[in-house]
This record gives sequence, structure tokens and C-alpha cells, in this order.
Amino acid sequence: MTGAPEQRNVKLTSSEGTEFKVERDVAEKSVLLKNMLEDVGESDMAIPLPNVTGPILQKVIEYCIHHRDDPVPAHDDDTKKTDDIDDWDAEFCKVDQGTLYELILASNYLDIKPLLDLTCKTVANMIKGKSPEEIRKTFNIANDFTPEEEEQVRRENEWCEGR
Amino acid sequence: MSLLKRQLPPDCLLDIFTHLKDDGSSLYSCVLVNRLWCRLVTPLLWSQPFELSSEDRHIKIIKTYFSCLSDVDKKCLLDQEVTLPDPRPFFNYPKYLKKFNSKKFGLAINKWLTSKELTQNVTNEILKLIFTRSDRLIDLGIVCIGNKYSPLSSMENSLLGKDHDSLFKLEMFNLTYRDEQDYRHSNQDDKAVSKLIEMMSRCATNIKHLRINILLWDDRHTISQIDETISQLLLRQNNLISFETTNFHHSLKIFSSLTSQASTLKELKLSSNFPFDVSFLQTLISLNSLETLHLNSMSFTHIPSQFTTHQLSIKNLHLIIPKLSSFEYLPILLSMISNNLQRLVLNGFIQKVLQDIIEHCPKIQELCIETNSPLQRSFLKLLSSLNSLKYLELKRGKKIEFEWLKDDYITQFSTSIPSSLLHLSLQSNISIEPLKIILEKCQAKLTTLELCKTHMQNEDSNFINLLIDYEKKNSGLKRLRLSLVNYNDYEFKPRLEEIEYARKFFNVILN
Repeated sequence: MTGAPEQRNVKLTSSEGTEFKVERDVAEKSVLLKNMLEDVGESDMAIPLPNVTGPILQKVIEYCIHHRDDPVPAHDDDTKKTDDIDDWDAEFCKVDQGTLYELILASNYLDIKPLLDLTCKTVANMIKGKSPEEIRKTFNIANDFTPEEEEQVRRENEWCEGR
Repeated sequence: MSLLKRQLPPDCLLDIFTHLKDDGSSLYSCVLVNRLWCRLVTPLLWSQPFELSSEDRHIKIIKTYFSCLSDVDKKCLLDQEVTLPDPRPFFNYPKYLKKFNSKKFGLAINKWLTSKELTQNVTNEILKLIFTRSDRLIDLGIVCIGNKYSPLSSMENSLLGKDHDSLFKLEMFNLTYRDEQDYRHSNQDDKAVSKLIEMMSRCATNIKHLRINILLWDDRHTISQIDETISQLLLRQNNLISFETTNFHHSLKIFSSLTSQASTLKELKLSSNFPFDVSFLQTLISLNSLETLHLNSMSFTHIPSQFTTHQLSIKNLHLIIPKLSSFEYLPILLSMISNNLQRLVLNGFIQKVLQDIIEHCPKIQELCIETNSPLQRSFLKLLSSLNSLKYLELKRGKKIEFEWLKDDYITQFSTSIPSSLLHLSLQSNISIEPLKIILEKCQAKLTTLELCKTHMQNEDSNFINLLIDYEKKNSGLKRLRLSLVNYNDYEFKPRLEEIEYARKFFNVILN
């Protein structure tokens, strides 16, 4: 019960109450969990994550296990390119839009920056090359501009119209 | 479930848009999606408008800025027959500006307005708008070359004499002020430059990267005044990381101010005509955080030996070696850096310095060479002596091919590559035969190869196969970065299939 490997496991509970057991270094990819674990110290208590559902937590854990040995990214700006997603990450993000949305929220809440960057990059790539109307359709967004407003926004920004 | 049905919170949306910050066309689409997206994207779009659009669109940026002027300022210019967009703008656009370069701005204004007086007035009003309303200027470039793009003549005394909060967060400041052969700046311009730098030294005290390029043809009285203000600007900085400058007549003052930045300054770039003398050396010795030094030719004066026993912390050294220059200072500099040197970049007539490198800096890990002169035996001697070398990059000036790769030199080059090498970059067209010899004879197990193909050759499939064979034999090749220049679609398509196949063995990055 008190063996070293056992102590390094952390229990997490999803919003429906499903319990997940992960190794501590995997859990610590989340800055939120890392800080919690540092504050609380060794504990057998499960950490409740009411904002994350089981299937999404499962995906997040899968990501953290794959990237457990990655160094912490040094520069903020290095992660801001949209064309450098590696094969495993690209495969990981081949999910329906709802899941992608939940992954963004979960990585934001758990403070896992590389996962947040990856999922945001994936959405940014979905935006690239689309017209405003195509973006609205893809993301199911209503246009709440009046025609006059839309015309003025268009005029004030027409210097960067690409097509 | 559709993405965003429940709507992402604004901070997550902002994270997504940040990934598009350099993509003007996508940001333009986003700004027109709905009101929330418009509000979130506008600050990004207007943070660097001149960088996000092509030159022919810059007039439109100026017009939108123009519509942000107060009614009083507008009226003044309207009287001079400037036509303006009618409604009040949706946003206070100048507020979001982070990056401003006066050259792009000046070109656009000159294209828009033909009257000289009006151009000056508009330039002044918009500069005022930017300096007074932007609250986040990060990168400022003021360029005055001859009589082109010269915003200084338009900057009113009131603008330069005033303190501006917008400069407080400034991280990069680039000032280029140069006489041209057919145009020398007036005394009034010189004074405006001094006043600008003076204003910067009061308001912009958190500059991280400072680049000052001043070249005046005459030995004018105002030069010492400009030098004095630059010294003040350096002294006032809290966090200077890099400093680049050219051609100062009174460099002593500049160097002594630079020592105030010893705890933060990591990079120093000096162009021609700096004296390599005791005061320069004392400055270098005092800069204990300095990691990167760029030098062009320097004039040398005798250095007493007590100064040369100090150790410099420099890890990266970039040397430009013109044909007609003396390099008496180099052995001293290299002996003071010695084993700390990790990365060396040599550009120009490199033969002159190779022996000094062999003698003083054997622990180099990265070596980059760009030269048009032939690489002789002395280069091979250097190469074989660098037992810690991991990265080697060879660039061949303007010529297309490495001539030396064609003769028997290639075998000697290949066998001189130290076994420690992991990354080989040949930035010039290379054909299959020399590459084959390199891969066969070189003792190192290369993990990354950077190659350049400038035209279609029948042997290209063999070229890919050769690399696949190399990977199979050594199972070390992880990455191939391939620059394909002058390939048209017809030529490129069959190559693409081969490249896809090669990706089963190693990562291929196409430039």
C-alpha cells in the first residue's frame, strides 16, 4: 500500500463520478493539478474535476501520457505557428467538433498549455481560407451585424481582404 | 454536436485567433463573422496592420486611421481638400497598434497625397494620433534615408518634446538615419533626431532590442550631440538584451554607457569602423552576460597584455571578413573566448582566420560558413580538428553550385568531417555523386541533412533512394530539409510521390 510506485499515482474523478488513476508525472502535465498536488501533498483522496466529462478526461490523459517526457516549451511564440502539428497530434485531433470544443475547455480549465495550443491550432486551421459565411456555417454562428454595420466593418478593414 | 453551439468563452476564442495573428486574410474573415468575433479580432488585426497587408493596400490603413482623428484636426485637413470616410469609426484603431515602421507608413502617405505641405501635415497628425492613443506600442521603427520616408521633418517639436505613455512598453526600437550621396540631412533634421532619441530615453526605458544605424557623410557638429543622446538612451534602459549599431565617430561614449547594461545584455552587433582598443575590450570584459557578438571589420590598436588575460563569456561569434581588412584583433579575441565558443558564423574571406580558430577555439559545436572564395586545405584542417562539432552549414554566396564538390576535394572533405557531426547543411545545389561520396566516406552518423536542389534532374529519384539507403544502413537519419528552388508544378509532382515514400523512413520538410 505504501510502496513508492503506488504513492506516485493520482486519482481523478470526472463530472459523472468515474474514477481515473494516473501516474503523478502524467497528472502534473496539468498546471492546475500540479499546484493542487504540491499544496495538498501525498493523499489517497481522488481529485474531483466537475468541469470535465469521463470521455474527455480519458482523451486528456491519453494526450498527457503520450507527451509525458516532453520538455516544457521555452518560448510562448514558438507555439503560435499553425503548420507544425506532428502526426500523432494531428491523429489525436481527428474528433468531432463537439469533442474538440470540450478538449479546448478542459485544457483551458486544467491549464495544459500544449494541449490548449494544439486544439486551438486545429480550430485555427479550420478557419484558414474560409469566407465569413463559411466560418459561420462551420461553427454554427449567427450573424448579429446589421447590414450597415457589416458594411462599415468591411470598409474599415478592407486593407487586409485576402481574396 | 456542432462546435461552438455552446459558444467558447472569449479567452478561448482569443487563444484560437492568436494562432492566426500573422494571417491577415483569415483575420479579415473572422472580423466579419459577428459582433463578438469582431471585438476580439480587431485588436489583433490592428496590432500590425502594415505587416499584414501588401504595400498597395497601405493607403486604406491610413484612411481608416485618418477617420479616427478628432473633428477639429479633421476639419483643419479637410480644408486642404482631403476626402475622408464619413461615419465615425467603430473602434479607436490607433489604440491597438503594436508595431509601427515609419518607412511603410511614409510610402503610403506619399502615394496618397501629392502636395508636400499636406503630406507633412497628415504625417504629423497621424504620428500624433499613434503616439498619443496607442497604449501598447511594442516595436517602433523610424527610418530616414536621404529625403525618402523622412517622418522627422513632419514631427512637430511639440510631439518630440512631449513624454508619451505609449512608449513605456516598447521592446524594440530601430532608428535608421542616413545621408544619401545626393541628399544630406539638414541641421534641423539632425536636431530632430537628437530630440527623438532624447524623448525615447525619457519614455522608453524598457527596450529589449535596440538597433541604431546612423550614417552621416560630413563630420557635423550635431554628431556628438546625437552620440550623447544615444548614451543617455542606453543608460536609461532597465532590460536591454540586444544592441546593434553602426559607424559611430565617438564610440567611446557609447561603449562606456553600454557597461550599464552588463547584467542583461546578451547580444552585441557592431558594424564597421569600430576601433578594437582598450576601451572596447574593457566594455566586453564588463559585459558578463554577453553571449552573442557580431563583428564586421574593426580597426586595431595595440592592447597591453594585462587586458588579454580575461575570459569572455561569449558563446556565439559572427564574423564578417571583408577582403581588405586586417585581423590582428582576432587572435586576441579568440584567445579570450577560447573554450566558451560554441557557435561560429563566418562570412566572407574566411581563409584569413582559420588557423586562429584551430589554435584557440577547438570546442566549437556549430560552424556556419558563407563564402564565395574556394574552401582550401586549411578549411579541412579546421574541420578535422573540431572534435565536438555537431552542426555544419556551408553556404555558397551568390553562385549556384559548390564547384569544389566536383573534384577530388570532396573525398577529403568527407573524411575530414568529425565523427561527432549530427547535422549537415549544404545550402547550394548538390548533385548525386558528391552527396554519395559524402554519405559513404563521412564517419559521422548524420541525423539531419539540409540540402538544396535548384533544378530538375533525371537523377532526382536516385537522390531520394540514396538517402533512404543511408537511413537503412545507419538507422540514424531522422530529418531531411529540402529546399526546392525553381521547380514548376509539372516537375514537382513526381518528386512529391517520391518524397511521400521517403517519409516512411524519415521526416521530410520542404522549403
